[in-house]
Order: sequence, then C-alpha cells, then structure tokens
Amino acid sequence: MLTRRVIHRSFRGLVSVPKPRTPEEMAQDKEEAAKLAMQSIKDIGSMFSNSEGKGDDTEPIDSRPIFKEPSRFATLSLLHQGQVLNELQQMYDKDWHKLTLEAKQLGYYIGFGNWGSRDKFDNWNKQEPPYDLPYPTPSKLQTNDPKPQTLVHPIDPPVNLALHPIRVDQFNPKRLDGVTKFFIYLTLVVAAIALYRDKFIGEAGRPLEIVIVDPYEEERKAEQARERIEEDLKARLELEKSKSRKWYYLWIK
Amino acid sequence: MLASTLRASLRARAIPSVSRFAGFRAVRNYSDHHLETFEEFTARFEKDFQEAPDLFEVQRLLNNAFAYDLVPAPAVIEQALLACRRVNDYPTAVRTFEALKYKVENKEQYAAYLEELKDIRKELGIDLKEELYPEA
Repeated sequence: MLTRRVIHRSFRGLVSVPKPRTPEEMAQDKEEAAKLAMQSIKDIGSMFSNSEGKGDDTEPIDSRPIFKEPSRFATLSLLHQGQVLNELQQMYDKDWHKLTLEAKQLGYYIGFGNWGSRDKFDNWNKQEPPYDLPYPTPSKLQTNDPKPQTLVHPIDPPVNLALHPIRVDQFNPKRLDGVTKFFIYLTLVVAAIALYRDKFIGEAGRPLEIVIVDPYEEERKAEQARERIEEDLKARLELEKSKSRKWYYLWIK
Repeated sequence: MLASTLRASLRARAIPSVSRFAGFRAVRNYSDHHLETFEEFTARFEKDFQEAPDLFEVQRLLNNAFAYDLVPAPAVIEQALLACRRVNDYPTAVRTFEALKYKVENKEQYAAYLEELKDIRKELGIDLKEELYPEA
C-alpha cells in the first residue's frame, strides 16, 4: 500500500540543484551502497533458501524499535519489512486522529524517506522542496487568481525527474553496480570459453559424461534378452521341425 | 551457432540506433491538445479523485494535477485528501499539503489554502510536514 510515488510525466526541466558532495559524503554513500548490496543478496538468498530451522530470520520481530527509529526499516529483510508494513497499515486503516507521532513518521519515512529508490533524497525530513515534485521550484504560475474561464496549460517544458542530478546515477545504464557487473563479466567469460571449445576443440573436448549404471536394471535387461533368444530359438526349431515333415510320411504310416 | 549470434549482435550494434520518428517525438505540440478552462480542470480532477480505486491512481492523479501552471482549486485538494483516506494512506495525505506548499508562490497563498482546507484536515486528522518534522 505504501508504494512510492510514481512519476509519469516526461520532462527536461530540473527542480533544484543539490550541493556538491564532499569526499566524506561520497565515502559514506559507497558504504551505504555496499550495505544495500549485501542486504539485496541476503534477500535474494532468503527467497531461494529453505529457511526451516534458521529461527530468527522467519520469526516476527519486535517492531517497536523500528517505530522509534524509522531509518532501521531500510535494513530489515523483506519479510520483516512486510510485517512492519502490515502493522502500520492496520493503524492507517483506523481513525487517523488516534495515530501516534511515531506511526506517522514511520509511514512518511517509508513513503518518502531516503532509502531504496530515494536513497539520495537527504532532505526528506527538512523544510525544503522535495527532489521529486512534478513542477519546478520556485513555482511559476500563470496567475494567482484564476477565473473559471482561465485556460490551464501543462508546465512547459515538463519536469523530467529521471534527469534530476540526484537521480542521474540511478538512470545511467553505463554505471552498473558491482554485483551486476560481476554477473555480466561471468556470462561473457563462460560464453568465450564455450565459443573457444566449439571452434578449436569440438566434440573430443566435451565434458566427461558421468553414466550411472544400475546393476539390477542391467541384470533384468540381460534376463529379458536371454528369454527372448530362447523363445526365438524355440520358435525356429518348431518351424524347422514342421518344415522337415513331408506329405508322404503320413502315407507311409 | 553462438559465434554467428555474437557476430549478428555486433553487426546490430555497429548501426546507429536512431529511430526514424525521433525527430517527431522530440517536439510536443501542446497547442494541438484541447486546453481546458480552470472550471473544466477542477471538475475533471474532482471526478477522477472520487473514482480513484487505489493508491497508485491517487498518486498518479496528484502528480498530474500539480503539473499545470495553476494551483489546483481547494475542491480538488479536498477530493484528493478524501481519496487518501479512502485508500488508507496517511503519508500521501501529508505529501499533498507539502506539494501544495511549494506549488503556491508565497506563504500567504499557502496560509489561505490551509485556512480553506482547515475543516477537512481537522475531520480526517492530517498533520502537516511542518508538524511531523519541526525545524530545530
């Protein structure tokens, strides 16, 4: 339910330009990216692994610390994120007057905080224009006092959030993360080895096939073959016997 | 077979992939569209928010409503807030006021909108971002 805001409009304009990042901030970004990559690998692993007996990974967690410190939500596994989201959604389904400040802040962080696809949106809890508004800031309006017959125009040029400096890296296909690069290079190496084998070694260099032999099956097949041979032999003898009798044998008797 | 596939892909990369229609797509002639009056715009978004079935649609409509050169009328914002309540998403309701804050040109206009929407905000129990994260 708490999906991120989806941007539908294409555009060229920019909302606002963030400050240049210091080397410390860049190092911190790298560290966070490494943490996220590890978390992603864990999440992928948890999808495939049989987690029976692992205990804590699949057990519900105490969500109170997450409500107190919303930034911890980003480090949870998918399963536990789902648990916290469910708890929060149950609160949102009821009267909003009864919501605690913590529940409100956690929901806002999950929706618009600096994690996941909004990783670099560092001003999410400040009184500044967010980086993903569908209009440029400061806002330029046609008029402050529109009449019913005033014509409404779409913002021109429309705002293209994918070109915002904060998101350029995310949408840059040339800058891939380390894990993706590893798998791409691995695929290329395997393809090159396969190509080399196809061209220069051929079938002689094919991997040794491991054949698993079942002695009982072999014995059964041999028995069947033996029975078949015996039946054939018997049939042939009977045929020969019947052919060997002449018509006059009966007459002689 | 693999070699021929690689060769084919390399050949394909060598050809610059410029669409024949790229030039046409680069130009967006808004003047060709039917321009709405503010009254029609308001009526359309009020109706759309009333009929929005889920959070995705509510957020899509919010993005669209704010992507014009006028601030949506209070009636549209009210319907947007009711839609947030209907799909039970509190953060989007907070975000609606945040979008309104930066869409208007000055603080007086924002205060006027808040005054206009005071009742619905009180009825639904929506806080402003300023209240959730007061500046230190």
